[in-house]
Amino acid sequence: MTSHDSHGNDEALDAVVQDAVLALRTPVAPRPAARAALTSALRSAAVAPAPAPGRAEQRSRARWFTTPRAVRMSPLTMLAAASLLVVSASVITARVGRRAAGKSVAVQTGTRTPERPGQVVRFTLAAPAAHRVSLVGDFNGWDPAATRLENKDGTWTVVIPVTPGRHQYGFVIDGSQWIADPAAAQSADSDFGTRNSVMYVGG
Amino acid sequence: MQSVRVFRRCLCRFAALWALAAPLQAQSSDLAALRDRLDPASYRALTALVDSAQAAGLPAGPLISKAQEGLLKRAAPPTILTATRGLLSRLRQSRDALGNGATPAELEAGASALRAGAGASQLSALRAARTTQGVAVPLVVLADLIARGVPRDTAARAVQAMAAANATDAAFNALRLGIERDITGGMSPAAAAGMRYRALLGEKQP
Repeated sequence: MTSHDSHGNDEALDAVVQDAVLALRTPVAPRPAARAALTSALRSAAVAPAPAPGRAEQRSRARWFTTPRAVRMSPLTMLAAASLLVVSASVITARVGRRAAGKSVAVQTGTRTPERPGQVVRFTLAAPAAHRVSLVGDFNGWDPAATRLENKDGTWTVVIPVTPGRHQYGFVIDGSQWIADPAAAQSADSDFGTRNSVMYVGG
Repeated sequence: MQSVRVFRRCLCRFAALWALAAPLQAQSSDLAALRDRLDPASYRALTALVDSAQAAGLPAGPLISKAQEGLLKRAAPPTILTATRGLLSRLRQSRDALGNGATPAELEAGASALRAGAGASQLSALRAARTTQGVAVPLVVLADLIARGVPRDTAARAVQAMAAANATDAAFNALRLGIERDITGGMSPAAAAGMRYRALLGEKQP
């Protein structure tokens, strides 16, 4: 390439560059739809203050919990999950029930036949010579180990919640001797040769 | 979304099954606890009675409770089985008299009333007189009055009159307590019940 040729080429190049510059400087009209979208976005950004980064993150998390989404799970997994829930619920219910049973909310003293609903009942028996006294009845499966009375100066006492209805009961002294409640207003014949005490709990 | 719906439905069904199964599970564990306390033949016979009750839609809890009571009182197994069989029979009679819609509490109260000496027709009459409320409490009161020595027809008339007057459960209990007080005060059971019955009729008249 000679210097003369080089000069002529430069001039030709300048003309091309100038055309390009002119073309780039010419304003381009945006499409109306794009302009409207951009304007709307800018307006909303101007009206609503930008949330703090922490709040935005919280909202995003909250939205994740509230947005419905499809869960893909095999029936076997569903059954396992449901079983787990049921077992957990039953364990919690049993524990709460045990705690509630252990609380004597409103002790009514001196009676075995409360007439108001939701009462706990105090059972007492004077048995100074006894070493162990149990309360048995249809409310505890007639199980002498279920409800033991506490001794204080020969008077044995226990306070338990009893469900509403008519109940038959009695005491077992020293694990073998059956005795009906001497203070009970009523007794009923059992099928086993002894009489049961009867009480009514309102409900 | 469909999977979630299926999951929810599954969960609801499990919860319902659990609610239904819990008492049955407790009963079966109570029954199983008697296995070591009864000879094998007696245990089998008791299990058959419990199964029979459950198959007939009758409450099995009272049967198990009766067996537990017998064992506590060291009754002989045949005596326990006789008592349990008798209770099952009364539960059946109670259901026949009260209808298929009777609740376990009503059936048990009906069985108690029958054991006390009430007639099946008196149970049916009480059910007919008290259609909008349960009859468990009236039946308990009926059984109680008869057990206290009130003649059965007098007791049944008093209870039916109260049922016909749409008396509440509390009113039935008040009747029972009133008669109990009268008897404790020296009145004869028949006179006490008769007086309360006449008072009931008097209250009904305008």
